[in-house]
Amino acid sequence: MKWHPVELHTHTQHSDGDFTVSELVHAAKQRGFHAVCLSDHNTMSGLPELYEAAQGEHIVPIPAIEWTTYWGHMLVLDEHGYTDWRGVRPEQIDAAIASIHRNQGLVGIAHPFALDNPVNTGYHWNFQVTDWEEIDFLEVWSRDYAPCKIQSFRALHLWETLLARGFHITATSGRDWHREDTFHYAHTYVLAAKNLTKESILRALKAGRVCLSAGPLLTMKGSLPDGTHVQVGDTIGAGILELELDLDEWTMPNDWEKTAVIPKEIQLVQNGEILCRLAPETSQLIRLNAVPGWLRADLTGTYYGKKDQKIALTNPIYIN
Amino acid sequence: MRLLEEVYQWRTHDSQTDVPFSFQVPEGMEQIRIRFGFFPGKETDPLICLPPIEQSMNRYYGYYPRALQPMEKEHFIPIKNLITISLDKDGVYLGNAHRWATSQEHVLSAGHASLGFVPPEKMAGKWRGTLHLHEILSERVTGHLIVEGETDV
Repeated sequence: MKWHPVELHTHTQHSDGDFTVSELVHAAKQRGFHAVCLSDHNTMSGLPELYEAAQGEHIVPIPAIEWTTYWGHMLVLDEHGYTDWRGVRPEQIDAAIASIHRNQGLVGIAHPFALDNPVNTGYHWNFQVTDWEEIDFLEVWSRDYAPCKIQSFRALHLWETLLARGFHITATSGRDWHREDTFHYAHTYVLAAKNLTKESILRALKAGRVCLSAGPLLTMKGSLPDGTHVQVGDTIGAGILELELDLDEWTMPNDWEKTAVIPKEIQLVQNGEILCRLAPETSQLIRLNAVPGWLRADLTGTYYGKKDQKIALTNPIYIN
Repeated sequence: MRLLEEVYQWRTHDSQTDVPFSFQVPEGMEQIRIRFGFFPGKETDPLICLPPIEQSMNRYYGYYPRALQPMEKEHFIPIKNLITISLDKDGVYLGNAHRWATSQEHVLSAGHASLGFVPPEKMAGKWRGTLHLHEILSERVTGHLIVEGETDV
């Protein structure tokens, strides 16, 4: 198993992006992504080009569409069929998501707290989800300089609120990539077999085997006293848990500046509270008594001049 | 051959509504050309732009202090009006041209479609479309939609 950087939110000239599909795929490959998801607004017309370009660049293609409605934007990945995005009212979103799931698609809420109309049309999530268990992933980081933005603080707060209510929702980062630029972005990593496939990426997303980073990659895994291995996204019983925290400063070297993203400490976060603070070592073990709820690791530090920012985080291990 | 022509007048309160249209393509037509334009494409009047921008910023910040991520509301002027077209043929969704252009041309045939759309299986028959008024900030926006069928392509 290996951590793979994947980009789950992009646009091309098939909607309002400047990229051609081949330019997008090439840019993703150059940055170091192992997979790229084409999620043009309300269309999948670019997919034939995606498959062809991805084959040439040896990168895994993921078909998607971004529902771009008046009430929010929603990423729909690999739906085998089509659920109509048009005319879905805020109170009808559960039925629409159920239809997408029947078609084996995954749904993720995009930039739920972004600046809304009239600046960005329909960006703020106003759909009335009643069953949050049906949301597969939530884009807690979006676009450039994500760690420092208020929309990220609010999305993280929503995510933690949902975790506290017992929902298992995977947090992701989305570049919402429309064109080449020199901004700084965060990355989504999925844990999957070395030989990456679309199916293994989608399984990892669904299972919560995902870490986010705007710089060094922080990962967490564990083991139970009986030797059982535990990954993020897993659910275990309360009790003794040995965690291994690893920090990879050499990940995605073409997409962030080591001199500008400076780790300060790793925080173990349990049910929203900081359980302990650790030095940002390359690798370390910690033994603890896991209590019911959820347990996550965050990396904090300086991000392009701003101190004490969250610059990486894992998805949680869930504890019954 | 002209298959459809519509002229629209929209007001600010029409924002976030759908406008359906339909047309019949007769046998023998090899492609259709959809031309759609609207005016104005953007709103520059601060008296119109600033109040909704301020509301948008209020929604964005929530209870967080604005000093954490300062933004100038004037920076967002002008505000673009955004209208996009989606198409269906024989109950199959063909796509959407989600772009900012105020003057759009979309050409579809059985073997080719403009960016944002996939080609239909056959041209003849009833077509349905929708204009999506994502943002109408200007007090009045005029739209003009023309669909033409072409042979001997």
